[in-house]
Amino acid sequence: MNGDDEPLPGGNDPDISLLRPYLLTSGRAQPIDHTLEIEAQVLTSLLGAASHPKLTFEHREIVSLCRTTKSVAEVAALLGLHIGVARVLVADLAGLGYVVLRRPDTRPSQDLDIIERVIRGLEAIR
Amino acid sequence: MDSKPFAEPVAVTVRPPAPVKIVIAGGFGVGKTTAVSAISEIRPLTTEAAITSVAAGIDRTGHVPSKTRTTVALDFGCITIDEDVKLYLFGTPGQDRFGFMWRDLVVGALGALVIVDTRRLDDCYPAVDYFEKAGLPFVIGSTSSTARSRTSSTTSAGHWLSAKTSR
Repeated sequence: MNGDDEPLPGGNDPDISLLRPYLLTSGRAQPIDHTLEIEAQVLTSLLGAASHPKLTFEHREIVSLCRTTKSVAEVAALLGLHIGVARVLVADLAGLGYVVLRRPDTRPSQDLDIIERVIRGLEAIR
Repeated sequence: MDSKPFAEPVAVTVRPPAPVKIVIAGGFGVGKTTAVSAISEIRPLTTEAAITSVAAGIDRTGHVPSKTRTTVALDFGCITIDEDVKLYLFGTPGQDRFGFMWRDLVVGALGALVIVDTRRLDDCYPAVDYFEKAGLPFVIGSTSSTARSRTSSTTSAGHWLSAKTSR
């Protein structure tokens, strides 16, 4: 697991960053699990919470943020990360056991139960 | 993951909800972000996503030599449907770019909403073509400058899903 050894001052500035986005991942553009969805749910594990002090800053920020469940896309937006960078970092953390993931069910579009629940949910807010 | 039995969630009683998603597409400035805002329970968030080098080649930054950005904005919002389902709405980048970003967005989506501005009908065809090729069910919603309201966005999404279920 490389890519977690770059302490970069100013790299978390969402507005102006002199860093190339993928420096945080040591240039890796693909997550270790390249199927990781941007809507996948990320929740910090007990191990991740316990390991928090020794994590590198970019991993630490994600572990802190995901004490309540967030999607990969929210991780990217809230930490000012490039979405591809967020996918790489989250997949790394999941591989290390520092976060647990809830992935979308496969072929949810075939699942009438889910669709009906979504309809009810949408109708409830109008 | 399976080889890490010690990876228990920090809040053991909480199981993350199953994520589902709907893609919202359409031409530039047609109101995708407005549609996301109308339904989302969070302030829509924006993140940046890389475009492919192929797309970068056709990026219409034209003759401005200092313009080297190769990212596009991705807007999204979410709605908690119930305790175990969370719906994400992804507004696609408005530009005519259909690289990895769209593939990531479309895989596993419940369906798509294509928003059409009737004054610029042609703008919607790239999205329509893409969803047809991808086999993703979609509906068309039209906007005009007077019809963008919370009610219309929400009800059209609901009607579309109802239609899809009864098919």
